[in-house]
Amino acid sequence: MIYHLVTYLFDTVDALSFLRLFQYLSFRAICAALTGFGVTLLFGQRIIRLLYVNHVRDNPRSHGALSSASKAGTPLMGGLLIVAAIFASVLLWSDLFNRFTLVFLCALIWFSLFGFIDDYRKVRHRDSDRGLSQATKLFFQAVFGLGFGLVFLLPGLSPVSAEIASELYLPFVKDPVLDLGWWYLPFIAFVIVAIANAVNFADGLDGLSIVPVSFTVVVYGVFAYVIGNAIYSGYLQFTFLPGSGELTVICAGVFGACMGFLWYNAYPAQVFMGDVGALPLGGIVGTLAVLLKQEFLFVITGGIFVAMAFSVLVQEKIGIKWLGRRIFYMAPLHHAFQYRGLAETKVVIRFWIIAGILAIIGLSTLKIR
Amino acid sequence: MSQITSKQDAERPPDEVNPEVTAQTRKTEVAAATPKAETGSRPLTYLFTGGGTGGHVYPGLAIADEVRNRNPEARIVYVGARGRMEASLVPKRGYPIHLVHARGLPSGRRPFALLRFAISTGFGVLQSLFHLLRRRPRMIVATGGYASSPVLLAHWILKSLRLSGACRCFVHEQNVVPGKVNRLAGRIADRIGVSFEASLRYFPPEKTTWAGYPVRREIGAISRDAARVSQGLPADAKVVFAFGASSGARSINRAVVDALPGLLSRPDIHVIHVIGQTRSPDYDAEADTRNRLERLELDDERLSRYHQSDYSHEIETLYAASDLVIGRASAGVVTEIGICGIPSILVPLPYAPGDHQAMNARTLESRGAARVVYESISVEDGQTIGEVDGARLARLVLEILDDPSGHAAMSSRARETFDRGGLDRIVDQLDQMLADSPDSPAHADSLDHPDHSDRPADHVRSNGQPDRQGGPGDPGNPGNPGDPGNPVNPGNPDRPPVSALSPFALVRRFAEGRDEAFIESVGEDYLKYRVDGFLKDGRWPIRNEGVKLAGLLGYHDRLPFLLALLRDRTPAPFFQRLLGGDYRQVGFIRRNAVTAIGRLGVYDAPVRAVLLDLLADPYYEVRSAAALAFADLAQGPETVDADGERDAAVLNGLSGLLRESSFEIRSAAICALGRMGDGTVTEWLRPFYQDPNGKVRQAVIDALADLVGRRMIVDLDGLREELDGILVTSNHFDPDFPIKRTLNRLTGMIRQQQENS
Repeated sequence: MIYHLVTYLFDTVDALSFLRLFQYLSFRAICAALTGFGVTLLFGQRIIRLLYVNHVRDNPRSHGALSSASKAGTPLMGGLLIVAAIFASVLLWSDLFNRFTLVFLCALIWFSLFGFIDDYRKVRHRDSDRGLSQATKLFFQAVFGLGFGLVFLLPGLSPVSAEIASELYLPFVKDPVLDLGWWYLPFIAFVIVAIANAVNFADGLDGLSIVPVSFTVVVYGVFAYVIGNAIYSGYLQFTFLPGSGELTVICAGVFGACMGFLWYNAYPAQVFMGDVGALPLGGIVGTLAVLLKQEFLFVITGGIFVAMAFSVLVQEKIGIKWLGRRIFYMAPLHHAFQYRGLAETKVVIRFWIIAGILAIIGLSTLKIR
Repeated sequence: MSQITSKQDAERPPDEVNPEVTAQTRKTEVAAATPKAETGSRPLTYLFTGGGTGGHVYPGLAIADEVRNRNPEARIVYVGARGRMEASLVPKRGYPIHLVHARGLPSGRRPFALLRFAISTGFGVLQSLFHLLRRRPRMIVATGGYASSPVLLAHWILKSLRLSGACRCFVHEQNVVPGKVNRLAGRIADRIGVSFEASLRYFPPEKTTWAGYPVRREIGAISRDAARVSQGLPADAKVVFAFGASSGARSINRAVVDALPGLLSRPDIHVIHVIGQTRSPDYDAEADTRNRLERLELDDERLSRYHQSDYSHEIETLYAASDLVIGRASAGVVTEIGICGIPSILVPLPYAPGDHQAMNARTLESRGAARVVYESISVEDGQTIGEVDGARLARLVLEILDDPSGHAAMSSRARETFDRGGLDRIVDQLDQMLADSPDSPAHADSLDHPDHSDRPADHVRSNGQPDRQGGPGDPGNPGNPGDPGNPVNPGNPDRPPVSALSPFALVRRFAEGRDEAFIESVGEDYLKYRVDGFLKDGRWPIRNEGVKLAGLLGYHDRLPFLLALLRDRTPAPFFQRLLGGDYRQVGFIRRNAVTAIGRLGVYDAPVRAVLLDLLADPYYEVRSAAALAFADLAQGPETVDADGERDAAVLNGLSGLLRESSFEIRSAAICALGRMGDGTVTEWLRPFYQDPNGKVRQAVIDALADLVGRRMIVDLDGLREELDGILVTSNHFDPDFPIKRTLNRLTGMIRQQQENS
């Protein structure tokens, strides 16, 4: 909204032409990041206390003695904080009439809503098994994926031009490898469902999912900046997507919100994000990947999430359900490391390191093509 | 084409009805109300269907007989599945049968089996359509079983096309928990009669009534003396009559033969044994029984008191002649022997739908009308089979026969529990339906039919209206026939519903240890029988829970079974092996079986041999579980052999595990070595002082502590020096939140003060 206000002001009032600064993506991105971070920091303490007194707590089944070694009783639904901060920074600093922004906001609202329903049911029934079933979650994710795919492929609605909307790009390859046509629709749905679930699986240890998510978002932010800029995209031989630069601002806002959340979520956590945080984060990363036409970049930058999702699928569906044996010690992967005798903090920081390295490799695909 | 029409089509069935039947007089009255068959030139046709097993065929035949009795002109045809019980039973009874394709719904998600089912049923429906259109029946009577599904579907198609004409459809359900076909049939049928009040809730209430089980008139009609004369049995003998289901029951057959030495040692006992006609690759009733019998080497005198046949068409005579029946607890058998007032030993068919046979048997037992023997299980040729202990059966038989007053009490209890009006109620209802049929020529007739009101009042009461109380709860009815199979009895809190006994629910319940109150309320025998059922199940997840429960319940009788399961090396299906599966008894089952054996706490030669083999199992969790089982079991003096030596084979097996790449196995082996080994195993532990995995190092320290505790280490000074070499920096620590500790102290104080005041 500041963006719109300022645009209006410097168009009409000559004396305020210095406000042109607010039109620059880089400046707005920095402001969005600071806003996201500031909002979480400002409201964090209060929201955590509010959640706690309202019994929005993890594992509320045990009413007896609290184990002094466990984090049982930690407030849940800290994701509300992340979502609120992202909202604030996007509303303040983005061009709200940009189609990329609108699609992003839809994803944020949709995933937050059913993430909230899921968490709310768990809290109300005081039972972490009483949330939405896995099938229901998949259904909601797929509905969004299909709806989004439809919007993306219809020339009148799509944020990208019709001739490249259904093209498939791969990292390290300059030109689109394949035109999927309408087969792109199920592909989008699959990408959304896969990424949303993968991020959700990773939300198991303090700070484990939030840092890799912010790394991924930063990588996508840089890509958005390049792809949305006619000169840079020409230089680095990307297909120019007019308007996608706006996603840089959004990514910065998400990064700020994630850092603010990490403030409280760092080991030992004062708050867990819950599905109301994990689902929207996964949903928006998936949406970003599709909007920037860099779906396969996620396999690199989000390698951690892919590995976790893969381990869960192999362990649950093939091992435990079908073969009747374990394939990994435990799934998702971070629990396997804990099982081997690594402390939680060690596991988490090692995953951060890997995520950082993967992010750098992801960024290298800007040039190595 | 597929149909085989009996040559006896036009003949009357052999009239087996004894003229002395008391109901005969009543029957002639009712016959007057029967709608007249003459509708022009076409005789009144009844089409009976149902089968697959004898349990669905016999009720149909009983109803058919009664229909024919009341209205000799009525034409009766039977449609059944090819190659099943009805194919031989029905022609023997003198009714023509058409055989159609039918197949039971396959369990589980097996696409090919489903496809075969769909094709077969589709073909069967076409055949049934043909028969329905050719025969133009006025009444379809379906008695359940998958054999009836093509006919019912064909009827439904005709009805939706308005081609069924005046044809009515009546469905009879024999069991408490309806089968799949009958649940579907409930929607298609015009009226449904159920045998147990408890099954009313499965069907649309407006067209469902309690009717009872159609017991043939012949049952209980013949006197004991006449029956004994016809069977050539002495009048003062004690006669035990044993039979499985119509298809034969391996467990009962084998147990009866095993019981023979005990039974025939009494000179007054005669045993009638109907073994059934099963001849499958698994089990050949005749050959198997013959082999067993030959092994017993009974003398001729004893054998002369053992009367064996593979099938009996005069089961009513055998009932009448006997003092005790050993059999399955199906609704039909239970009702028949109840009416005859014979004490029984019931061996429920395990895991019938809703476990209704066990429920029937339990109810009769609680009424003092029968005794229950559950099948237990054992492994034979790699297959799990049900079995009954013959010696125990013999003891139980003698116990009942030796106590005349108890025998008489059981007999009268059995008689009190059942009434025999079912057949009349059902056939009355058929007549009523035909009379009410709108375009029936008999309809106009029946409106002012003078005989109509002359029916015995109780018949009209019990079928003319869907009254829930008029049937089973009627004080005029002796006993409560609705009860004997009621598996879910909400009014009775001490009998939990079957669903609470699902394997997963049970494992959750016992996870914290034996729940004695629960075991008491369900009955330990029954619980064990359920566990047997899980162990026998074809689906590995169920078997897996059964294995866990065997350990949790302390089910020591199943130790040999668990060992057999662990020895079972039948490979898994090809596609599973492709992805890392190994044996049919999957990794989880083997791991949990080892854990269960550890829980049972028995360490003898067979256990040792099996565990030793498992140290080389292909699945890593089994290897580590086996090592831990050794650690738990082999601590006593048993581990020392005659020369006072440690069990070297086991120790060597464990030391082999130390080279494994999995830290879990290394830790388990180290733990077991600490518990079982002597001072020399420190040599084996030394390479692990700097193991990269902290948990392995922790296990080493634990093992050394065990050795020191058992005073196995002489050179304590040397050990102390060595300890310095153990790498103790660790990747692991346990978090501790002091605020929670403080809070716990406070709540503890509060609780204590509350308790004191």
